[in-house]
Amino acid sequence: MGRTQAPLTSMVDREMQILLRVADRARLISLKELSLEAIGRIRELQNAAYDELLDPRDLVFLALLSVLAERCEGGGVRG
Amino acid sequence: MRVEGYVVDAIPGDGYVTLVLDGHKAANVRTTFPLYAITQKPERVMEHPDVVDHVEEVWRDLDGREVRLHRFELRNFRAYRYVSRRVRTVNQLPTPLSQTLARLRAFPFKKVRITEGKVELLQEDELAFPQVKLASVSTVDWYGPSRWGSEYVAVLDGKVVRGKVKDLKLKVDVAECSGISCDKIDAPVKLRMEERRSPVSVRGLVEWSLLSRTPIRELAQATIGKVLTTNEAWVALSRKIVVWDVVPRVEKPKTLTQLKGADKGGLVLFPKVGCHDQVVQVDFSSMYPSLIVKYNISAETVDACEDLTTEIGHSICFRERGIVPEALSWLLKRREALRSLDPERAEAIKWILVASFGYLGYRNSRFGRIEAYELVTYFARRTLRTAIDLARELGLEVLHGIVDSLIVRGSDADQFSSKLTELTGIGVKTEIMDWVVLTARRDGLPYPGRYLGRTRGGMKVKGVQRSNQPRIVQEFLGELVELMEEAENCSQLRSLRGKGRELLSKYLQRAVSGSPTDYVLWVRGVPYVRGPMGFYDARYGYGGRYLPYYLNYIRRVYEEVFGWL
Repeated sequence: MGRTQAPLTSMVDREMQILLRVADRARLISLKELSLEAIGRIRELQNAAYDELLDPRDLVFLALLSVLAERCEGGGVRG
Repeated sequence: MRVEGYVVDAIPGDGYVTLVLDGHKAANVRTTFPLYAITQKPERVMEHPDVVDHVEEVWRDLDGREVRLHRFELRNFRAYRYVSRRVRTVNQLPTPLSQTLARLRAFPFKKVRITEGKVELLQEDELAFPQVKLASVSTVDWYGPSRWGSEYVAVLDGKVVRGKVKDLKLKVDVAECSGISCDKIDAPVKLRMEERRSPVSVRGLVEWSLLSRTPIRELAQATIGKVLTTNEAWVALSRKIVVWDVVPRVEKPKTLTQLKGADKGGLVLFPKVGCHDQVVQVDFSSMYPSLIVKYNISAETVDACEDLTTEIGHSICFRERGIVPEALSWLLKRREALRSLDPERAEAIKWILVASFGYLGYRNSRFGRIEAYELVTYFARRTLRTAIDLARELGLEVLHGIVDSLIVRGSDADQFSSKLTELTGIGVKTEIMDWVVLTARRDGLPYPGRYLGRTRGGMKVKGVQRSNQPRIVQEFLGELVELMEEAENCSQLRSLRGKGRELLSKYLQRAVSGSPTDYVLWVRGVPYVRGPMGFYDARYGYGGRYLPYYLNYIRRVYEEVFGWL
């Protein structure tokens, strides 16, 4: 939204698209599924992080981490 | 000789100025015209036969440094143009004519009495609108307003009159006109619509003229920025601060991390997509100008001392009131007072207030500075974040937020607005909505720039209707919004789906067999129609339409508005 920086939302979307492309090429179905779930909550994280010094890539990782963290609850991922 | 009336225009002459008053009255008043210059050889300027006097004065620049100026008094504007091209001239804003009128106390659209060449300003209510005759006349063709049209639409005292241009006969004080209609109007001031660069009506222009103390003729082609800067320049002039023509201001160096922190816009929250019942929209009134006034943000107060330091690395000095805050605080008060009295004029002031923030960051702005601009957005983000935190503290659910406005749901909304004003020091306006629809993008992710809601005063629609949509699409959206207004809650709104579909088919049919006007869309004042070979200029005649473009357009906007169903 600023004078010189690219719009945050389009940069976040671009980072997510890169992740999906990589997951597709590497045929990592689990990563793709994780990324799609992360996309669903990325805007919520954007809302919370707008006035902080975070990169779009940081937001993408945070979204992925939050999905993983939820899955880990109760030891779901270990199996 | 004695004449009395409102100053409508001023025409500079040779040693005098002709004041044109309402009712086609006029009187000459003897005067000279001031020119401020920086020169080492004032005697050379004095050699000009039309330069009658000269005084050396001490002024200051924005940083407080002393500047020695020479004020020359000239007999006419011919001399002004000649001298200003040869010496470094400053204080050219407010315009030399406005400065002359201010010295004579013959302010534009103020009531005066002129007796034997002497002007007396007659006291009137500050908010009263001058009793002058205004008219707005536009010529029209089949596609809409056109300078070549043979018919006209005139607005006179709020009444709309239509007819053939050849039959037009009108005598007013100020006329806004287009095409050949201008030749048919008898008025001392005619403002050509084709040359207008401002978004306000002729009544709004009169308000701009009043508050910037500048003749309306000089504002006819002006941008909002000129009106804003003139107001600021009056403050500078009253403090004997030089108004430069070009301000060589360099942004202070920043690291990339600092730039990332400071170079941000207002806070925008992504909405919770869907239809929500019983919500409240909370708006900060004139948030950016209010923040500028509250935090004393102006080019000369930013980083001048460290009375208030911020996380983005800029500080603000409160020792002296800034020029921009002083100019804006007056405008804010005037707008507030006019809001219920005269909405059209309040709207004209709103435009100036809206531009005031952007102008702080504009590189050619005389009283702006990029750090000041960044401070405004910083405080705006902080203020909205404070509002969000308070809403959550009170148990309200925040559904949406854009820069200076929040949509919340919960029972404590009244308490919320009063606490928010107390906490932030900025006025807050609340509006109850029976329901609001917050929409998504085509990929399903929330889209913050578009919403529709039903308030007690009618529908509130943002980001749906645009001025560059084809007429058929605009009318379709108008009817669709009207239909939605029938619903009292979200469940009733959902039940309107069938009627919405009917409306869609009606307009799809109309697109197939519509009239040429249906297909016209306006982009930057030019009417276009989408033909089979692309867009073409409608002013050269109607040459067919490309049907799939219009059908897809109608379907797309329907999806935007009703897609959430």
